[in-house]
Formats: sequence, C-alpha cells, structure tokens
Amino acid sequence: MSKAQAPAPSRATRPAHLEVPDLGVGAGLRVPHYGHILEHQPELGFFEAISENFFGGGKPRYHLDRVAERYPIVLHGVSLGIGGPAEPDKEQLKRLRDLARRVRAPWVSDHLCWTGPGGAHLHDLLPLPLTRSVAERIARRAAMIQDYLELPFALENTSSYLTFAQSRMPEWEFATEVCERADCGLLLDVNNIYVSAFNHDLDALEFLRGLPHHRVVQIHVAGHTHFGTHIIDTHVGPTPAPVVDLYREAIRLCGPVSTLLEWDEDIPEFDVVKAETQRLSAVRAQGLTGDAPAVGADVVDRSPVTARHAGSAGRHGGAAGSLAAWSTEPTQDSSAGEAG
Amino acid sequence: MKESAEAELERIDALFELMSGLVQRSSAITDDREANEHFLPSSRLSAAQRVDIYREQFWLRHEDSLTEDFPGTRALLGPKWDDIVRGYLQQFPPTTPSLRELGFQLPDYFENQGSLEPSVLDMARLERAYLEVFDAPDEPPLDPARVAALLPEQWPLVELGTSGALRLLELGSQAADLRRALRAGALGEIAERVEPVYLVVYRRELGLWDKEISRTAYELLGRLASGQALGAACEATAEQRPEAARELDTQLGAWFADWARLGWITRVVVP
Repeated sequence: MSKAQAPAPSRATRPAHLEVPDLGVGAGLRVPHYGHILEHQPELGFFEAISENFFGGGKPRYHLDRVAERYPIVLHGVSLGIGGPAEPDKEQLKRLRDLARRVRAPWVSDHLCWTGPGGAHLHDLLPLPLTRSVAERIARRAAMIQDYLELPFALENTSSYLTFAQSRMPEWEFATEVCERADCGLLLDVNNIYVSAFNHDLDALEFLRGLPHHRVVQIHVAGHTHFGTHIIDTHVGPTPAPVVDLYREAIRLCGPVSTLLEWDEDIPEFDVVKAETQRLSAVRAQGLTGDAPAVGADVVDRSPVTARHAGSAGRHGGAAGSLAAWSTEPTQDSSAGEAG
Repeated sequence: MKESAEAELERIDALFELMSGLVQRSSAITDDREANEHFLPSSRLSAAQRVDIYREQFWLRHEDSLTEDFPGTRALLGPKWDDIVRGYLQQFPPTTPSLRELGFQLPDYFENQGSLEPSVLDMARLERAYLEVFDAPDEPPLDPARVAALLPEQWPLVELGTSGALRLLELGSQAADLRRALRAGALGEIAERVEPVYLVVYRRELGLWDKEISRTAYELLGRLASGQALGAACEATAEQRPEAARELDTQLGAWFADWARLGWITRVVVP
C-alpha cells in the first residue's frame, strides 16, 4: 500500500483520563543493565519494569527504587490473564497498586490474553477466542482494574500462533471493542502485529490501521525469530526493517506516543540497546513530521532459522530472572559467634 | 437459537481447560482431528502444529527456568536431570504467576522418589531456600531502643520475631559447601561429614548468605520463629539435652547480639 493510499490519522478525541505524558523512547529495565544505568545514568526517556518482578523486596526492589529516582518508570504486567476464567486476583492488584504508587508510574499495562485455567499458570500469553462475550468479560475487568489503580490502564495486543475456530471478529475489532467498552488504553505492540499478521495470514497494515489510535498510551517495538512457517515473538536483536516501517506508520497514526524497545534474548551491553533507542527516535521523528517512506504491505523477513525458542513469555513473562542472572551467588558466613 | 453470553463463556472456559491440557502434554500433538475441532490451520501449519508451538514453549520455558534455579541439584543428578524435571512438572504443574516459585515443590517431589541420594534432596532444599530468601519482603531492622526499654521481668514473655528472609535447614550433608565447590569446579576438596549440618540461609545487605550454627542454636531459633515466647523457647530447648542447657547458659547473650546484628531477629513483641 502506498503512502498516498493510507488513511489519515484517527480524528477521534483521546479521552481525558488517557492524556498521559509523552516520555519519548525508552527501554525495558533488565537485570544485566542495572549496574550500567545506575553508574552512568544514560540519557533515556523512561524505563519499563515488569511489575511482578518487583512485588517482593531485596535486590529487585532496591534497584528499581534507585532507577525510579532518576527516570520515569512505567509498569508492565505479564500475569493478570485478564481473559481467563478467573477474576483478577485482589492481592495481586493491591501489590500492583502499591508498586505503581511507589515508583509514581504514570500508567500501568498488561496483556490481552489468558494465562491458565483454574489454578494453573502456564507462564505464557495465550491467545483468546475473539468473541463479543470474551471482549465484554475483559472490558468489565479492565474497567474495574483501572478504577482500583486510579491510573490509566492499558492492554497490549499479543503475538499469537493459533486461531480459535470460535473467533468471530478480527483482532483489531476485538481490541477496539475491549478498549471502548472499558474506556481504557491500548498498548500497541507493532512487533506483535507483524508476528500475528504473518502467523494468521493477515495484512499487518490493515491490523494497525483498524486499532483505536486515540487510546494508544504506549507503543512496544521489538525483534522476533522467523521459522519459515511461523514467527515467534522472541524480543531478540535490533528491530527488523518491516517492524520499523510499521512503527513509523503507528506514530503517524497515533501521534507522539511513548515508545519502548523490548530486548529480552541475547541481551547486549546497554550501549547497544541505547543505540537502538536512538535509531527508533529518528524513526519516530519521521513519523511525527510526515517525513515517512511509503510502507509496503509485502515487506516480510524471509530469513528463517531453525533453532528452538521458548518465546518471550519466559523470563519476561513471569519471573524476575534466576539468582545467577542477578549475580547473586550465596556467600558463606563463617563469622564467629556460635558455639559448636 | 443464539447462545447466551454466559453459556458461550462457559464453553470458552472449557476450551481453555482443553488447550491447557494439550499445552502440558509431554509428547508432540499430532492428532489433527482433535485440534481441528477447536483451532484453525494457517496457510503453512496444521491446527495441531500450531497448538504444538505452545506445547513446545511450555516445556522449554519451564525446564530452562528450573535448570537456572537449581544448578547444584542439576549437577548432582547429571543426565538424570531432564527426565526428573519432566516428571516433576507433570506432578507439580505451575500454579503461581512467578516462575521463581516453579521449583518450590521440588524437594517434596524428591522425597517421594526413593531412589534418589539424600544429598540431592539436601541440595534441592538449600536451593529452594536461596530462592525464597532472595526477594522476600524487606523489613526494618530491630530497633535497639525497643530492646533497651525492656524490663528484666518482660524478657521471658517477649516474642522475638525472625526475619521473613531467613530459612532454617537441618541437612545430612554439606550442601552449601558442595554447591560452591561444584560451581568453582573444586568438588574434590569437600570432605564427607556424617553428623547433621544446621544451616541458616538469610539475606543481608541485598546479598544471600548461609551460616552453620550449633544444634542448640538451631532449635532455639526454630522455636522463636514459630512464635514461642523467649522463656518457653529457652526452657524447651534446654530440656532436650544436658549440653543444650549448658550452651544456653554460656552463649545466649552472644547469640542474641549476633542474630540482631545479622538481621535474623527483626521484631520484639511484648504481650
């Protein structure tokens, strides 16, 4: 699709409670970077922290507090499972609210997904049957969560590899239905649009253009891994060219929205992440000024690999990193003081 | 007739149960008939192949997580580790949002595996304790003014609350030293010991620590941790063995000073 054929940006008015600050371009807060961030205080718009990783104390909480003293922090959850059978866990919501207040988060987000039935938790962002009843269920819960948090609450479109026979609407209609009914925000993940579009034989541009742009409070950008028959959302490496193109178009449609780079596999030195955020800042400027190259619907990464991947929902999607990742090897205390 | 929203959601929740079962299967999903009933193929993959992406990720994610969190246990089990982890995940599927809690039942699982060496169970218990302590909630340190204000007659009645970032372990082997040696590649330097090891695993200044203490100190700390008043805890500990009474007589003051300094005791509750 050429630039001339592209629809104009949405003219719908952004709801007042979703008027959030534009924080520019930021990066996901990841364990290997804490030392560098605190020592060098690199210039960056903001950091996004995975909420569940900071519900406890110790090293995770200490480092988050130090980073929050210097940078805006937004919170991104991975375990609400808002579309699943169970109602949101009240204790988890309380912890989330306490954490959001502690770091003064301007908004909080989670995913349009389910994470397990009954008492199970599969630590994955599982796809939903796209029906009106599921949208209504999620909207009711999202509205309740937003009221409880007393903060803008946004839901992210996820990557998926599977379609339910029961689905009755395209994903962009489903996301719109949820956000409009709940009067909540949308976290627009352009890599997830690209991944899902490939996996479900959809048009990524149609997907992007069908979303409620006036409700987008944040954008995610990331890399993925192409297997030839399907793409997995691995958050690996620099952002691939077609995702960058989609991002530029997303900015053109949504306006100046805070953008986050997710890099969760083969995490490089922070300087490499920083350089990638600077590249995205330039793309963002192109989208905002209209100085944007035409977006081609046929731009597809054709470099499949055969390695096996656990996907991005692993350490990103549920845990806080192993003790080894935190460089926390237990130390023997042989100090005197005990008998025997 | 159009299905009500409530009935549709019930059907969808049953579908979630079905998908959850498929995702947790230990072998690849190949039956397209079963998958085709509820899921659609893409232009490149059958419905069964698409569900199998989630199944494969489920196992990779959870096996990787346990391998990272239990390096000592894995080293002791060697090539048996992969099969044991699969068996564990089938018996104890994940139920909490945090992957860090995934292996918390691993020692329970090992206890039911009669053929495993006791040292493997010790190592699993130790590594679970490290995980539990790592990000346990922060607590303010013991207030010295509160301790100084106690009257002599109040001491037997006070409850000394222990830190949430502290675990007490009675082990049959030197698991902590063994783990350090395994990681340093110096296994041969660990001497075998036959008597039990009484270990405190705790967090201090963001670091993880383990400290061996005497049996008497271990028993007293355990009683305090369970909420017994100081006087009753000392009496019960002293009654166990004559040497315990002598040890309490000579060491109690030094222990309390040390335990407060290390952050093991965080609260003084006067009834």
